Amino acid sequence: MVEEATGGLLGRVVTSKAGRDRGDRYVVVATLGADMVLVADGQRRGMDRPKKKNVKHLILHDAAPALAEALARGERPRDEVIRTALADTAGDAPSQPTPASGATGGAPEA
Amino acid sequence: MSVIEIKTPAEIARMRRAGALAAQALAAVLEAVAPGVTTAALDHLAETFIRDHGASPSFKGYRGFPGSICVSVDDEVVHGIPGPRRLRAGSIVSIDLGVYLDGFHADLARTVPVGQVDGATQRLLVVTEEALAAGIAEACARRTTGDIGHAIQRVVERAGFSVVRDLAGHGVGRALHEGPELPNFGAAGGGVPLQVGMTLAIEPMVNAGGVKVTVDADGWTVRTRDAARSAHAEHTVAVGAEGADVLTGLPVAAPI
Repeated sequence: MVEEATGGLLGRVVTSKAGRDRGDRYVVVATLGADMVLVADGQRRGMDRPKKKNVKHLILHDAAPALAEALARGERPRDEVIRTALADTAGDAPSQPTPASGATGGAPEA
Repeated sequence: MSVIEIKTPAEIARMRRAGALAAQALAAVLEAVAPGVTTAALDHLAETFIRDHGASPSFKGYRGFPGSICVSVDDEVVHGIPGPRRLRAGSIVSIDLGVYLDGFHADLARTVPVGQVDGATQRLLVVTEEALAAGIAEACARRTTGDIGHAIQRVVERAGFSVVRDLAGHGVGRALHEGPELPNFGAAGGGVPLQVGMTLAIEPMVNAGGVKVTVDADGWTVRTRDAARSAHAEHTVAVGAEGADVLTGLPVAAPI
């Protein structure tokens, strides 16, 4: 039986599409059950005070690879790293299926 | 995140017993797959077989799942609920089955044709098995979960199919779902390093069409958004020093 890939959300750049923070961009830093995640932006929402969001209320973009890997290992990234990841990762379009040649991009567990 | 449990050789031996029973149960179910058979009949067969051998079906009641097995037909990716529906010739059906025996789970799946299927569908089934084999080949020490996902993704996408992203394989053992999570895609060398004694359920889900999936109103059945067919194959393996140790090997190769 398959597991819902909530952990695959770790390190994904997301945009809030519901709530007062609509339009704000974050990184997923933890998963809570099947539907809920904790998100942080390294500024107003740092690692000390991540925001709880329903996955349904997020637009998912590609993962920030280094951050995803650190989170998968159970490390706690510094806020500065999250800010850099948000600045470096294009987050204006939902992620598309990765073409065969592009297997290095956007792998949540990578 | 789920905890990663490293198993001792004795624990792996117990999982192998669960795995052998799961494989036999699956073989019995696959033998019963035929046009006109209801998916509930397959479920009943599996549950009876598993309980008659002193084990219990892992899925029954898991997070409220009503069946003992998942039966997913055609565009259903995984987690189809058994019921009165009858299989039709030309369809494909995925059977996903878990056995809980002596404190451990074993989890495996296979997708087979119902009667004759067209060439494209046959190819989907073959590529799914090849993708599983490619993933299993990476399940050894000094590799990572990303190596497994990358190997699967490469086989699938080279064949022109797509791998499901929203669902993943997983660690398995005392709990049906343990860490690490095993996406069926990723970058080689990425993810979590594998260690000898990890036990993993490797399970590519391969869509003939696009990558997107939806969940039915029943809360379980996952199907492709574009209604293209999808296949699923799974083995439980133990990570070894030199290679994977398949714990759910079928005693005889069933036809696909």
